[in-house]
Amino acid sequence: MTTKFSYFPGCSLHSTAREYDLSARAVCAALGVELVELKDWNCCGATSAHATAPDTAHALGMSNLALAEKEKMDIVTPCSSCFSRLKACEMEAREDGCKGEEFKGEISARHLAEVLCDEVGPDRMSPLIRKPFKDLKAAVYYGCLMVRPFAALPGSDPENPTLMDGCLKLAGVTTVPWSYNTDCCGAGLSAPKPKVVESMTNRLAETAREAGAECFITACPLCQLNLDTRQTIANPLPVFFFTEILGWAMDLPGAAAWFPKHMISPQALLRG
Amino acid sequence: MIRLSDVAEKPATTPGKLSELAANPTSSFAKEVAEKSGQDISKCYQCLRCVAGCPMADFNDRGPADILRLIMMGAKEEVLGSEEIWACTSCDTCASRCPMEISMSRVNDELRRRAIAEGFVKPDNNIAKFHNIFMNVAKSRGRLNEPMLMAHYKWQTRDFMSDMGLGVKMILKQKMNPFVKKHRDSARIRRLFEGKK
Repeated sequence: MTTKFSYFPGCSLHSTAREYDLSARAVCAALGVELVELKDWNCCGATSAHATAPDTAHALGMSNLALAEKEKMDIVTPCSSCFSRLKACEMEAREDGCKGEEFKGEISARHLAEVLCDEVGPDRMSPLIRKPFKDLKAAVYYGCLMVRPFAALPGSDPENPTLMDGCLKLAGVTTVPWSYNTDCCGAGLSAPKPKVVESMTNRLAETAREAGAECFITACPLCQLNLDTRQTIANPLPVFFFTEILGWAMDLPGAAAWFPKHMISPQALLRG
Repeated sequence: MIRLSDVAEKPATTPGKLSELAANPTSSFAKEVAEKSGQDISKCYQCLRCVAGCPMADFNDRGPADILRLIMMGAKEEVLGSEEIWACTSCDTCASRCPMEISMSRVNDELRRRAIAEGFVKPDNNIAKFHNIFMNVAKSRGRLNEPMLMAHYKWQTRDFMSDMGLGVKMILKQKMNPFVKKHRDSARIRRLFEGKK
């Protein structure tokens, strides 16, 4: 098991997804996974770069990969958009044998969900679960970008990934069967087209409730933000980051400080 | 021999011109888009699985396969001036369903790049504005400053009231961090955005 990684928080984790950063660092520390924030990391470009200036998008990704390669450790990020961008750039470079690139392919981009739920895995996590939830019914919302490019997470189905389910079950979560787990949340349209994103998140919420869910669990800052701020149905579902669920079940100190940052209060589900 | 122009229906938009274009299904525009996007768009046989899966289908007049058909017919102005290319969220559900493995989100990346380069972006296109502001903030600071991004967006769209309540709540919960430090190597960041080594 790799125990040390370069950490790429991405722009959101220092701001709108603060609780994701706090819970991710806490859970990693508890599991003996050391995160060293990559000095001088730059914005991955998210959607805006590849959607308007593909050459810049490539340059931004390669810059981060080259920086990470100097540290000789895989680069791990909790943000699905950053992961998707880093991975896409890594795969593009590798296809060409890294010709003309500073990055030589010696390290890889990783999603935190894969590092925690697969590389560390349920067996190593199990002894640390001290306060599991009592049958918390959740719609596990992977979102689209965690599985883009399609080969980014080997072993994961791009339409129905189940990567996090095993560890979440350990934490006392009952994952409801739900066919919308990679359906788009509306992403960056939240600012320019809020009504569209309301409609999309409401559909996710209504179908999740129909499936029996009491909450969403996600691994992407923008998915969490959209679900947490754009649901307009009568009984909106609280939206957790998977690291918050794991951290709470591990009874980590300071965990209680993460949840007041949510817009839809999850307090009722925490008293369980 | 039956020619395509004999049987092509009159389309709902720009009648006449499109049926002329329908007579030449593989235009130079289509070839350029295919090459720049890396997508083999001529393989599309209009099965419409992309349209069925597209999350924006409810909000747009046309689906991915319709835009692709217009590209094949060489309707450059129609395509580059369309709303659909901007509404695409790049979720790639189209690519995950397409039997010919065509990614319309990758095609849209090229179409948007070209729409910007050739002056097809309308002044009321708030999606393009948002992307432009994102890129400017990222270029000037190396990392996003989200309150700055939202402030610029609100100013440029002159829309100060919407989401005001949400904005205040987020500031109170310390989720809108105005103190995100600028990247210390601004010259390097500028070079990345300007394509210089």
